[in-house]
Amino acid sequence: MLSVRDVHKSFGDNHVLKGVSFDVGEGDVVAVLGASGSGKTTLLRCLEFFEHADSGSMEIDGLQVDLTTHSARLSRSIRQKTAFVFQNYNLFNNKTALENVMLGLTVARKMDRASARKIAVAALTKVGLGERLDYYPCELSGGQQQRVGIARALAVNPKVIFFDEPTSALDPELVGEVLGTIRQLAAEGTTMVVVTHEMSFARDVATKVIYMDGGVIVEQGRPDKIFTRPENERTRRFLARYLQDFDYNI
Amino acid sequence: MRVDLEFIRQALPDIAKYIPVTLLLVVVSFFLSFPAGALFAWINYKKIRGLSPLVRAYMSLIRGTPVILQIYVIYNVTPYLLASLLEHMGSSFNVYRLNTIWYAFFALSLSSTVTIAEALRAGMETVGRGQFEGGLSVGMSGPQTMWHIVFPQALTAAMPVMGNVVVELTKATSLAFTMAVTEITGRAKILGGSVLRYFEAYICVFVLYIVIIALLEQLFKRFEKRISVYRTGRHSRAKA
Repeated sequence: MLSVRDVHKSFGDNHVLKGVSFDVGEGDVVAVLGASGSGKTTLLRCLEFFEHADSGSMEIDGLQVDLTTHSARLSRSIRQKTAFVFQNYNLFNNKTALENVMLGLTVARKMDRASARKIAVAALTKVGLGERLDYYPCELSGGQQQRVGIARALAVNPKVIFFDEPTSALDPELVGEVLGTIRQLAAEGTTMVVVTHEMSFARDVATKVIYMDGGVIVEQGRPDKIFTRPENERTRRFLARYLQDFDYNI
Repeated sequence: MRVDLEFIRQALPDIAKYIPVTLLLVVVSFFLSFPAGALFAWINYKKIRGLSPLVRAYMSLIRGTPVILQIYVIYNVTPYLLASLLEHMGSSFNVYRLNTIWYAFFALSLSSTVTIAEALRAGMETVGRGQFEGGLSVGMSGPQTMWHIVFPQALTAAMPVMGNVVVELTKATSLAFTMAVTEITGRAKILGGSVLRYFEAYICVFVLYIVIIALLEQLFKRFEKRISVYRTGRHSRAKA
């Protein structure tokens, strides 16, 4: 459904992505793991055309597109098939929760307000915010804001939702509600690519795990395989560092 | 010196009759300069090649000259240019019969355009890149995101300056009399001059300006509060 081929991206002399390719099937939940600076976020931003890749292509929903394109029109037509959940939410500060979710429908897709409202209310109810429709982002907690962000992504009925470290900016006690929401979407078969540092989430929810280091995919596969029998030494070291917490949990 | 209270009592309502002219000058000039200022702000914010240097040149030209001089130039030069242009086009329209208030609108809006452009551009800079990307991520175009997300937030940030622009504009309308537009200052001069009671006449306009400006400030404060509701929220804050 989504296949990414040979993405390269440099910022000046810094070669961040050195040829990344992967496939996402319908209903897949792909967790992208890796240390800071491994290029995970840049990869996602290239797929959403927030950055222009130096080379690489993507096929989504049967549509082939060059990731280096500078065409605003082409980027937009691809963005209409995807959605993006940001690390720091990026909700529209001047719009209420309901308006945040509706805008992608009424403005971007020219849907009439009544139908858009119906969809937006349903999306917000799904993420547990049906009672907060007329709240502005500044009136919501971080966890609530991120759930509005997820509802905003859901409402446009995308082929795939990209999550860029959706829980990294949250207080520890609020991480659970957001991960719970993403889990629920996974159970409903939403296709997602999630850049995350939440190992247990990747292990339990993902259908596929990608481990990146130094701008390349070091290893990818089913989570049970990656987490229990990693083939690459670098993957092993990374997981050992992140999973050591569990050694004490007996 | 004896203050002629009787003269003030008679002159004040007479001068006050010209408040609508003053307000008309303020309102029309403001609504002329706002879209122009917004356009300039956008050009400078986007640093549009070719246009942005032009806009900045215009802005330093206006900022670097006194308003009264701009008025002289516009009032004396524009009709002449306009007349020869119309003649060239074969139009029989006589520009010298055009109400001079049109020149006043134009002249007064020059400098407020510059201030509005600067305030809105600064306001746009305060809106983070993330707001823009949020708009793109739901499939909106760049201009749609500017219009629905970035611009309203920039306007809110620029509101305190907008209030100042209107106050400055109100005071600047007193120069319209040099373009033969009779507003409150002009009326005061005429009345004061007719019986040589300038001091009393000026006291009257003095009071009127203070009242008008205080009311306008109140109006703007309310408007600012209304459009910035998203910053403070309507419900009790639930920030975690």
